[in-house]
Amino acid sequence: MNCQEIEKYCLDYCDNNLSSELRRPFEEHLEQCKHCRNLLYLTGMENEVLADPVDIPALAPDFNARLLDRIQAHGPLYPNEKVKSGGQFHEYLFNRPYVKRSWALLVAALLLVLLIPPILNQDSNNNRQLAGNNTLQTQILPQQSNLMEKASLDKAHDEYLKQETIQPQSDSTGGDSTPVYGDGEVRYKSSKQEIPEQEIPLAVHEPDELIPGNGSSREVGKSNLSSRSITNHQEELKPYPENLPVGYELVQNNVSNGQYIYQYRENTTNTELNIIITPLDQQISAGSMGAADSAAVKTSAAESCPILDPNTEDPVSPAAVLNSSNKHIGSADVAYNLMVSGNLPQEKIDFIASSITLGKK
Amino acid sequence: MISDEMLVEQTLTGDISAFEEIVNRYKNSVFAIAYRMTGQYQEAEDISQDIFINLYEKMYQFDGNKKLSPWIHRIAVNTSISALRKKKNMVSLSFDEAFVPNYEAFSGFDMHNPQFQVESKELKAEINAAIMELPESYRAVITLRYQMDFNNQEIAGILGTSRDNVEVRIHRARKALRRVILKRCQERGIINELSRD
Repeated sequence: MNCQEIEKYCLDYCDNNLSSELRRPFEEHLEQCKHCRNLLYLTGMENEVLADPVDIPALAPDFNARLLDRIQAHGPLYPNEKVKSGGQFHEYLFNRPYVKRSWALLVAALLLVLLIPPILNQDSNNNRQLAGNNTLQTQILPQQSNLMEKASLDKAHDEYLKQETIQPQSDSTGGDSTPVYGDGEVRYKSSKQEIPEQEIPLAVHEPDELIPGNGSSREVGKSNLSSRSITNHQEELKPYPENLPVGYELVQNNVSNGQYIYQYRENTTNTELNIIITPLDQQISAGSMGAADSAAVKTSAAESCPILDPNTEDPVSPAAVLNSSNKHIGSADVAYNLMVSGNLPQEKIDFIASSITLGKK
Repeated sequence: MISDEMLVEQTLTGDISAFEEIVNRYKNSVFAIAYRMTGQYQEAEDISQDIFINLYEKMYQFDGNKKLSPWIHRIAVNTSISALRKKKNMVSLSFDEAFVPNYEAFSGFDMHNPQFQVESKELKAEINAAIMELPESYRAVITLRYQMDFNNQEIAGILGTSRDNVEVRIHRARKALRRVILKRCQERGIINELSRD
């Protein structure tokens, strides 16, 4: 056995773990090698020092007392409760700071999810109510008035389908649900109502959008309406007919003597329609207009709408006779007389007049 | 005698006296580890306090199907190593008092050499100083193996490693200790004959 092997087995020899086969050559080498004897001596000293418990001083007598003081000063620790029984583990868990923060964030997110949709719905309901009461905020959001009005119409339809407590204004209507202003309350027409005789699809025409450069009519209407005893924001609203049969295009509209005059044309049959909306108080005050007299209105309409003159040279005019129909329509604030005239049979004129509703723009 | 595991159960129900009994059973071994790791009495005692505080706070994590002893000593070793790493600037690592063990020479050898006798006391001081120069991991395994007298299997349970790995660690730690001792002894002229140079 050489010195390297002695160094290798030195620890085992000191621990008395060397086999007899190795122990004899190990000891024989030690007898002859002073270096390895010193190495063995050092190893023994190491073991003795390492394993000597004498050098470990005793703990101070008050070690336990100070430790328990620290534990009690630490406050009630969760380990005081029994974990495996389920005890107050949830209290321990939920009282951890990061868990508290997580719960706060979660609650805030839930509140946002739960509260925002009702708020949005409330806003849309307010818009619908404002639209129904002729109080569109054109001064506040003039550019959104059209969108708000259309949204209010859709929601009004939904509400009507749910409630079905409001009777239709007339027996002839169809198409999309549309608010009807008349007799002092807002009512909505149902798409379920039957259309008598023939089905005439209705469409909504918005005069200012269809006729470019006609924005001055709004100003005219405003100036005329300003003399009436209505609120300022209502003065900016101009009535216009809705639910006209499909195919009629607005060709002209103007305001004259407080009357809102709309002229429509249906190009395929060369049918023309003239609608005059007159505020009732204006009509009464005007006196000379004779709004109640349909013949006078008919004459007035014929004069104001030369394209509907029966003496026109239009070769494809389907009806040479100019028929008309009157009805009162409006809201709680303002009532109007609606006169519909055109080169159509009287029954169709009556039907169209009954189906027309008023919008405000 | 009530078992360690039962004491843990009682401690978890809020019985402080049960925890105090655990402290009484393990405070000496825990302090021995801390003292061997730090080499300073006050430091070792403070670390021992921290070890038991950690034990108390983590007691709900204890697996009742296992033995408490390896778990406590693992906490002791880890807490001691953490404390040492936090105080790396603590340079003066020397034992508070010298060792005067009853040295007996190995039989069959000339261990009564007067030179060795004279140098033995100084040599032991050098060995203790060399231990403190070892890395914490080596120091921990040497403490567990020789000071705490754990076998390799128990050390493996404490350190969370295999038995073979423990043997390797012990062997490397002893070799490292030997190198440090020789270096220190050569610098101070103690047992020069150990060196072949």
